[in-house]
Amino acid sequence: MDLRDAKVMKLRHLFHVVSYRAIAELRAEASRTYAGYLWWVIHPLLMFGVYYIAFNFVMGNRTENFAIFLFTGIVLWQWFSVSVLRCSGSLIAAKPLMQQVNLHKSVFPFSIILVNTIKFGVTFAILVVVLGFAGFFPGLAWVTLPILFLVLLLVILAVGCFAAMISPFIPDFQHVLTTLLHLMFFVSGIIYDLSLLPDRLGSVLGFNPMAIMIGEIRNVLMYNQFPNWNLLMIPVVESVCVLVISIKLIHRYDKVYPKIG
Amino acid sequence: MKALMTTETNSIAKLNHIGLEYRRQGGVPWKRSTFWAIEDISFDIQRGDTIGIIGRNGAGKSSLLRVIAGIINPDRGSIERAPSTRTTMLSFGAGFESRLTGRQNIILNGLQLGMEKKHVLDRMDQIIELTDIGEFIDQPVRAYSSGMRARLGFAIAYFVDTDILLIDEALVTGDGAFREKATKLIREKISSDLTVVIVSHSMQLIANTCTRVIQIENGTSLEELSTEDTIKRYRSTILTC
Repeated sequence: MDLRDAKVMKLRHLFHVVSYRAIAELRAEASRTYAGYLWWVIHPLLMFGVYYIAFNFVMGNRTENFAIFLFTGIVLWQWFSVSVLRCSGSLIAAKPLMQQVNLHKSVFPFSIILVNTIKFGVTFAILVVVLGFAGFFPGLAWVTLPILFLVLLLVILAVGCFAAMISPFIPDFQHVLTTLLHLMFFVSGIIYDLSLLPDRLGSVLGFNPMAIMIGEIRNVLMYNQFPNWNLLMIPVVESVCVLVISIKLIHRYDKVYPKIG
Repeated sequence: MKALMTTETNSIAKLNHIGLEYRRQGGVPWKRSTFWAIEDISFDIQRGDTIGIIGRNGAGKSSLLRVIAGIINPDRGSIERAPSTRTTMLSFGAGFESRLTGRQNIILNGLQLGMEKKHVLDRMDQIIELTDIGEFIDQPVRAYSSGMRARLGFAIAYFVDTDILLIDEALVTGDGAFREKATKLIREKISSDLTVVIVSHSMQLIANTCTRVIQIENGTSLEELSTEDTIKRYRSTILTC
């Protein structure tokens, strides 16, 4: 009992550290620019503006939903890719701090993911507004969104922790990761519908957690379609495996990270 | 371990021939090139001790503090600690987020040093009073002088509940008045059962504050002598180089 209490206390403390680091980073980031927190709203709006102009005027795409289709995918993708990229450098950047303070190293990727999740929350609110203007209104299927977002968060945590865990040992991994993310961007159904692909290719890409998540969330948002729960088991199982292994390894190398990198 | 419990009940941490190996920078994984930052260091830290660590640059002093703090593990030898010993390194500025105010950094740094959030908030006023930097406390830390950063770092670490406090040259920064105040406060803490390990190049500070001195040369701890004799020996090793 006593031991369990101590463990709960420790976890609670880690949670405080993670959340305060996230708040600190958000504040610090906002203080870097004149518009500060407004950029959370401006940035996604500008991004949508670019797609809207590009696909409605420049390329003259008739299917006017394409800008919406694209924007939905990009918003979800950014939550994932920015988190993962920042995580990959997190343990390397934290080396000076690690050498002074005895902190569990998983704190660093977790606080980065929390920062990007909060930002995603704001972006998602804008996405809902944009969807409304385009004539896509919330329907019954929207009640499944919290679950879908939790699964996507799980995917982000898994890949983020894995990237954070391995980069200090192999700094070159960060360059490889950029390329992998670039490739993944094109096979996650962000800029085209994956169902247009030939069956064989499609079945291979079917194991790509981001393709599944983006597809399912887009179905809810744009077509008010309930998710395919069986399909969601793929990202859940993949993420849980990778996350458990990554956190175990971060834990094992806790005293090694301050020495390397 | 049993002997540690029975005959030396006052021992809070014991270093047995520890060694610490680093990988050389710029090496490739298949051609391991390493060096030993710490070769062979042994000594015993008693509860209530104030131990000064002296040695030339690169002798392994900072690495030693990290091993005592439990931030890194020794690659050979062992370190035995009394059960549930808390160790804190007095960091001054390492964990500071320069765009946040002093007040916000107190919370961030306090949490990172292992303080409970409630505990930090409860002691906020006392910590601010100890920093003695006036209205700068609500300014971003990047506007601080290095002395002010040192004051802030010291004030936070002072209020951390810990058993062993590790200090790496921290008192050298800051003006005379602050240094005096910090030294006085540390002396007060020493009398209250706190154990302190200080790394410093200031022989005056070591002579005035420490009850024991350990000299380290090339990653090896030399035979422990009295404070005066150790300082004399250290001075002579500097002169002979």
